Amino acid sequence: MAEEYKGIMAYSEDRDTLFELLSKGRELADQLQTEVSAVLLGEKVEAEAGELASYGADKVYVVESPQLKGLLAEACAEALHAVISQAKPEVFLVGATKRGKELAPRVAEKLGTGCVAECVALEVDAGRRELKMKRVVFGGKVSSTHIIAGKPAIATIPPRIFEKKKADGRTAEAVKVEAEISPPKAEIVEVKPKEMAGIRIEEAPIVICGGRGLKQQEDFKMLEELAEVLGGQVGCTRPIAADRGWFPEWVGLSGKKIQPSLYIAVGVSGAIQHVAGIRSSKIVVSVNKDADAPIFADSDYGIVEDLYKVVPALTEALRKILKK
Amino acid sequence: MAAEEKFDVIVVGAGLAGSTAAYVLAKEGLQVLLIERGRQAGAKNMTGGIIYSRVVHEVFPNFWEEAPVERAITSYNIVFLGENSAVTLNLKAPGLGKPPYNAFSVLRAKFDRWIAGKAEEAGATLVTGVTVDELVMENGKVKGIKSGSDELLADVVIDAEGAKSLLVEKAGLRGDFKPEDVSVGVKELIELPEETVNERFNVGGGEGASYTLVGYTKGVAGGGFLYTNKASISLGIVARIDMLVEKQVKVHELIEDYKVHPFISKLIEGGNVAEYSAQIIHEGGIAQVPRLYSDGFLAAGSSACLLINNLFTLRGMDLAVASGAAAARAVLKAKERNDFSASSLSAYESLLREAFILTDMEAFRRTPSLLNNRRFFTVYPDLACSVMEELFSVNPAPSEKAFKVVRRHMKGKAGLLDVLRDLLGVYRAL
Amino acid sequence: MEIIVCAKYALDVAEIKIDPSGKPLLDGVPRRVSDIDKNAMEAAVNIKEKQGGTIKVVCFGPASAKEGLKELLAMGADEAYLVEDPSGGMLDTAATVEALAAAIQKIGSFDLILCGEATTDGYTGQVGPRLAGKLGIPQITYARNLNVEGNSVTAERDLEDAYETVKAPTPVLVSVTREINVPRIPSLMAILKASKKPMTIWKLEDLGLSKEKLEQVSTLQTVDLQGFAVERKRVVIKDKPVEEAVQELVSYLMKEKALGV
Ligand SMILES: Cc1cc2nc3c(=O)[nH]c(=O)nc-3n(C[C@H](O)[C@H](O)[C@H](O)COP(=O)(O)OP(=O)(O)OC[C@H]3O[C@@H](n4cnc5c(N)ncnc54)[C@H](O)[C@@H]3O)c2cc1C
Ligand SMILES: Cc1cc2nc3c(=O)[nH]c(=O)nc-3n(C[C@H](O)[C@H](O)[C@H](O)COP(=O)(O)OP(=O)(O)OC[C@H]3O[C@@H](n4cnc5c(N)ncnc54)[C@H](O)[C@@H]3O)c2cc1C
Ligand SMILES: Nc1ncnc2c1ncn2[C@@H]1O[C@H](COP(=O)(O)O)[C@@H](O)[C@H]1O
Repeated sequence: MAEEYKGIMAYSEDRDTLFELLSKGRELADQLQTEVSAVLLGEKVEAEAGELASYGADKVYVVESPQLKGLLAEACAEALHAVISQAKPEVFLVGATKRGKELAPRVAEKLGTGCVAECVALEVDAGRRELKMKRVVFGGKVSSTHIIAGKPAIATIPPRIFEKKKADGRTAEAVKVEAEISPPKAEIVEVKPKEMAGIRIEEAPIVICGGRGLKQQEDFKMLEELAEVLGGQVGCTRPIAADRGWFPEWVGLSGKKIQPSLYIAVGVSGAIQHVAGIRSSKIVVSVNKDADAPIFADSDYGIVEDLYKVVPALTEALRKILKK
Repeated sequence: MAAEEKFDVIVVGAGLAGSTAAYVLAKEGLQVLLIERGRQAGAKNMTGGIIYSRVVHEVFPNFWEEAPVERAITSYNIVFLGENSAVTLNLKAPGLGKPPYNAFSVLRAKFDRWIAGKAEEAGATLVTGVTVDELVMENGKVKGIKSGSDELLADVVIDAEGAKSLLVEKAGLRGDFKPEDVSVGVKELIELPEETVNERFNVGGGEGASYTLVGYTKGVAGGGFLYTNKASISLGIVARIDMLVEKQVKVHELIEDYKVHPFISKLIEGGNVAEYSAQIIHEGGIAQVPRLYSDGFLAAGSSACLLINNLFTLRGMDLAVASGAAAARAVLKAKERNDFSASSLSAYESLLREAFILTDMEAFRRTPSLLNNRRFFTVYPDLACSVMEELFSVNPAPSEKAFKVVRRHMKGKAGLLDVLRDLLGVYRAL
Repeated sequence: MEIIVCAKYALDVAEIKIDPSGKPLLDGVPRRVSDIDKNAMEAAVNIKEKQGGTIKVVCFGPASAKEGLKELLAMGADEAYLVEDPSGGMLDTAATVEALAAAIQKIGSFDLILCGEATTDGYTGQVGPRLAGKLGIPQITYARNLNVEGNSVTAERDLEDAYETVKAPTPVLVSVTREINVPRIPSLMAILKASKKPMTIWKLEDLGLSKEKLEQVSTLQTVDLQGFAVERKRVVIKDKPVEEAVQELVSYLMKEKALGV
């Protein structure tokens, strides 16, 4: 019965993430000698199918329906269920944006299969036709590797884990899937966009991260100056973003996982969930006035001192050296 | 707010004293409420240490068969730390490793939970995550406790909240502490694999070692300890607060110094500091012990300042267990008479005496003044080390007699008379 | 409003140790109610305080989860249900949902199911959406606030790029973020009262399930667990004038070639 399931399928409502998944999917599919497909969901999306081919899709399944307005999970799950029942992929990759993270398990439940959330590495065993999915558990202390016996094996993957690789000259077949989608019971009443920062923090070579040690939003200007001198980006901890709303996103287990060459934590206590996001940083520096703050155990260099004294002094010192 | 529930006794603090008291009372059928501010019993008690078995065995016979003890201590050491050297006195006796044992190392997070569990098994109600803020008083009599806006009444309140003992003060049984009577204790738990501990300390089969550290404290009155748990080492120091202030030294500096001292660094090498904790300790000895009871109120354990620090051993845990049991027995007697006045509860004091607690403390009543003598922390440890170093190193110069060496090293640091006086002091105090 | 809160008695991740070979030591790790599930309980209590109703808390977990359920009863739940997990936590989210759904069906009617955005140990965020899917009800995830009016629930979701307000009719499942509220710390009286509230303990068989059935549903296998070992240098500069400390740091960073010079 498992024989019926073949190929790798990817979906994300976020285009860049979908490109990344397709690029990775292509690599896995080549190992398994199978096809890659993408899914597009929306009211009118067919026109976008072309671009997906250049990232590795052989087929693009398109579901168009007025019920897909706003991409509510209820409706998307029905659409994906229809696509998967028809195409029968052995692997289904979903972008782990928050929308993707709530959608994949709902689809998995409908299909009676398993799902691994927020994978940071994928590997296939071509002989056994098995997908090994690696993720981070226990507050970021442990990495776990899973396989799924059900079909398809579903994995969600955060943005920026895999590189997108464009190959020109490829074409893909667009397949329209007629799915009966019941009108979703939920409805979107209002959308308030967040003010987004400049480049994505996941790509910054140097990240200066502010925590609750900073008393007011204005004080982040200090960090921005330092970031400017260093050519880096400013990020923050969860309470700064989610409680105080000073930034759209945060660094950590439930936020962005980053891998800069230099990471500077300012007024950050170093909770395990925060540290989970910075494990791949090359060098970690911290400034905290509390000598017992756990962040020092996870730092290469630390200064025990008031950040309001250290940050301006550090900015000045670096400005001199870097002549900016 | 009136309670639907009525308890005979409310015990504040599920440390060793509190849980023991609750256990003894509940076993006799009393309605007991045991209140602990930590998320669990033991959650806030990182101090741990060496628990001396004798009195614990009386309340919980053969407790080592069931309780989470780490190692039976069979090797006792006193170490004088010099600048770069150390002189060690070692005691090993075969009897120490056999029932009823002399002492065990324990980790409080586990051990306290075990005793609190015994109290619950016996029928006491344990409530965790709740802090008692106040006593309910009526005409100078203790009637119950307050926590937030909740009030709860009982015939007797047993205070076992540990060294801070705010309720003892609120019950009017003591005034402020004198700075010279209070020390601060800090402890680090350093994790090492069990086999490494066995090898390094030359112990095995559940046996362990304890070290009392003298000297190397920047002249601050105090001393350190190091002992082996199953798969970790506890390293700590107890230092007098007034002298830390006087010398402008922070305790954590002292422990950091310890960790790089050659004698200690090789014992803890490669270990991972898993916990750090600090707590106050009463050093005033018997003179500091407040009145232990009033109408409807008893204090047990370190909230009653029941602690013996004789320079070489620090005993608080066994005294906490024994005093918790004694307090409970005093309440049981009072319950027979249905009289919970101070005079009815005064049986507590004689019960403490029977359990040798007050007698032990009286026997050591001179040790606090021993701790006042700075030479014990400044001169003698260095002296011991430099004298030993010289006696054992082979020099080209003609050998001196040992006594002469000692005299030479003492010059300018301590007079012979001081030393004789100090030796007499030690003799009388111990 | 009849509310059901799903709460996990999760491993206390702070207490997980890694052995020298890199294997996590999971035996005997203490458990606690998963942090964000307390936010879910607080949200339920807030609703009940405003418009009345009942709160039932459901947990699929080990027998020791009774301790955690007591805490949630003290926070304000009226009743607690524990479905005992005979597997020692080895099952996947599909099996968890199978058990929770069976318990919820046995409990009977409900208007609102509240979950946390994710648990502190496994951190999958799957149980809520899966459960909503299984029960065929709408879901609102990542709710940072929540409003109940008559038979409809409105919540503002915290997404990466926007706050999205979603309205859904009951019955509905909502998963909350930890920012939605500050969970109350139960008072002494609340704890004493909670000890008298009903707690029902079900074996899988009581729900028409079995260990074998759940193992069949659980298709996820864990093939490896490995602790992270990022060793940092841990150089700490302290008790120095600021300028000096900063200079010291800068020279370290130059040595590391972390500044591009
Ligand atoms: C399931 C779950 C997921 C989570 N996910 C994340 C996540 O992805 N990312 C995240 O960041 N958090 C996350 N958290 C929250 C995390 O547990 C911590 O609460 C949070 O990281 C703390 O943020 P902070 O360090 O800014 O604040 P605090 O912990 O309040 O630390 C502030 C620090 O600033 C220092 N300080 C104060 N004033 C000064 C000064 N003048 N100079 C120098 N230092 C000063 C203080 O000593 C303190 O150490 C999560 C929690 C849970 C339960
Ligand atoms: C660093 C250090 C090392 C030590 N080493 C040793 C040793 O090796 N051997 C030895 O025998 N002794 C040692 N001691 C002494 C020993 O720890 C104490 O004597 C002993 O813990 C006293 O027990 P207790 O039950 O009276 O109080 P504690 O153990 O302090 O317990 C008090 C309990 O009450 C709770 N509590 C406090 N206030 C409230 C409140 N208001 N409401 C509710 N709950 C409350 C606390 O959370 C705690 O659980 C050491 C002490 C220190 C500081
Ligand atoms: N074993 C469980 N019992 C009850 N509820 C659970 C259980 N596991 C997960 N949940 C609920 O589902 C949410 C998400 O959990 P998870 O998918 O494990 O991250 C949690 O916050 C709980 O509300």
